Amino acid sequence: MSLTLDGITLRDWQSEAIARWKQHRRRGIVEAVTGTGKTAVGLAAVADALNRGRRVLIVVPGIGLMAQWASAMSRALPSVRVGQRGGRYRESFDDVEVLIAVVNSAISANFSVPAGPTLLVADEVHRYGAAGFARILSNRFGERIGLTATLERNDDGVDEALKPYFENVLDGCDFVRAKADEIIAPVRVMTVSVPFTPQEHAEYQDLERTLQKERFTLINRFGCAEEPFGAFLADVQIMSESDDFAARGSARRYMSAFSGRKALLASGCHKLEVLAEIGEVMALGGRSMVFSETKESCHAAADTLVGRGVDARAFTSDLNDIERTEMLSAFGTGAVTALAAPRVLDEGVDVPEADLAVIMAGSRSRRQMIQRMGRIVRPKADGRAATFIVLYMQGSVEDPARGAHEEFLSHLLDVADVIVGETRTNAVNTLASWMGVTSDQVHDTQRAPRVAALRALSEGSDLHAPIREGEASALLRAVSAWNDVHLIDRTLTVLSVLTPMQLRVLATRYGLGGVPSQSVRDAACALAVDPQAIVRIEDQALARLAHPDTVDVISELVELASRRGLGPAVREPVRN
Amino acid sequence: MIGWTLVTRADLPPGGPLRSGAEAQLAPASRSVATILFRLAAEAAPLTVPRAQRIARLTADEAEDLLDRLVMEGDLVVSEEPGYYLRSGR
Repeated sequence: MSLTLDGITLRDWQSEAIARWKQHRRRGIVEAVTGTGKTAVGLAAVADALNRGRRVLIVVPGIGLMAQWASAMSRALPSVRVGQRGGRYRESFDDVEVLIAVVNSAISANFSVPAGPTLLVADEVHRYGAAGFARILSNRFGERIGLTATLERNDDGVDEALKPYFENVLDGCDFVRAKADEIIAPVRVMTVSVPFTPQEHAEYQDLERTLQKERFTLINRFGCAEEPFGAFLADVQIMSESDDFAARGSARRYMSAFSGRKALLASGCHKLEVLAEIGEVMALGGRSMVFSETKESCHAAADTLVGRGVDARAFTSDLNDIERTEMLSAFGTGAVTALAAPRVLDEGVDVPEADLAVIMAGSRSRRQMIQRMGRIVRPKADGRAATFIVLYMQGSVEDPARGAHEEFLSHLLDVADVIVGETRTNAVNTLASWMGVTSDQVHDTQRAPRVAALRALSEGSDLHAPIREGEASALLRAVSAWNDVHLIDRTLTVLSVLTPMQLRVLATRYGLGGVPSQSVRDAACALAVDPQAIVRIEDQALARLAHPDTVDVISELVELASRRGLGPAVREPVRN
Repeated sequence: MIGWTLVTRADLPPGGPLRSGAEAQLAPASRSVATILFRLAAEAAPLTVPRAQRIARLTADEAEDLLDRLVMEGDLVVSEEPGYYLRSGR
């Protein structure tokens, strides 16, 4: 019986890519930008191979992608026996028709490839141009398909290893095709010019002078390649370890100034101010991503957004795998609404879709920019547009007037439906109108107690007082202050409408059940979540108690407590 | 307590039923929520099955089953006088 993919109808470009691959002796690399569905092409190739009695090795760069492929296989080809190899998985071809393997495991000495005809599916194929990984490119695989968003490497691995092995680079799907096929959302782009502070400008000019001087020296005296820039940087990197004292010094000064400029541009004071203003619109909802270059600038961006009421987190390499998974899960559920990420989010991470990207720092890497775009341009369920805001320091290497962002902007401009260049003053109003948000809504959100609480936290304060006042809050304070069993029982009855976590947060913050009431930061420690989550959950819990099914009960309980002299306890001033 | 001042405890008679009767309209608590509610309730006074039932609006069997589970997990202990569940360590 012929296998077909369950629940997947191939898009036109996917069918065309598979047809071309078959025409080329089933050897080729398919390049398709993020979010357009290159995995489905891989699945179609797997089904084709299985239908002809082949077995299949799917090679992936890491464990995360192995899990994603295993999940995709079980959905699309549920009757196929699939194994995994890598991490804690040790399966082999003895028991399965399709083996998904992390490349490190697949090139190890004890990994054996089946004797019969086998298809190799190489996901993120550009990775296997590296000398060590290229060992997976074995002639034992008569049929081969490579999948990538961008067939690009900084070394010569594409020309030396990948193209000779796969033989063909087949048309896949770029953003222009995706736009034509309506696979991506409508795109709006706003560039916002941001001025330097005088101090930043002086620092920037110093760094530029160093970069120009050392570049001249490195090219003309020490023989570094002038172009392309990637080749120059690679030479500088090598030179920085040279035995030649003068060459090493020049290379290191260049690299230091290069990093310094990158950090300065990513964390420009006025950029954070613009981000804060944009954050006031972001606080009204929707998922957003902020792309920057350094961990420090990502933390600064996340803190800035938190201060404006956005549930933002920095998604950096400081997080372990579990923390990353939890944060992405929270981003998926809406518990976190903005992620500020440097390169760590760029590749191989399955990220829930977002509507808005703020580019705090550009990148010269085509692959990185395509990955970033792909996160945002996925089609939205309600047809709304994807929005990009590109912040650039005026007169710097980031300034489009100086040809900067060229690569990224050219990709965006090819598919953008709306493109505007704004000053800082107009940026927020334009964004608000794009998002369908009024200035009153923005102001109301910023006045909300939750936002005030988040702002206090972002400024380093702690909060002892309840996030918001009201009858529910008064009742909980009375229950906490008086060990009145009748009042406690009835209040607990009402609290039963909450989620377990909401209940725990209120119990901890108000001191129910014999424990002292705790500040936001202490409650965060006690419940092993971050302080912003405490604010959000407490706010949601109190809002839930204001619903029609509970609001009357709470009013009556407050009245009852009052009649019986069980008023709320007197609160102490907020301790910072 | 941190945050507000504890005033002396008053020994007051229980209040009557609420005018709205809305408490009775609330859906039964989930097991996970009821578990937390029972821990909190047992802090205030020994918990009985009827009291647990009222708080979480569960059947007697459901309430007793949950209370027994809390005993097995060490959160509650059964008092010498049968029928009373106390917060452990108190």
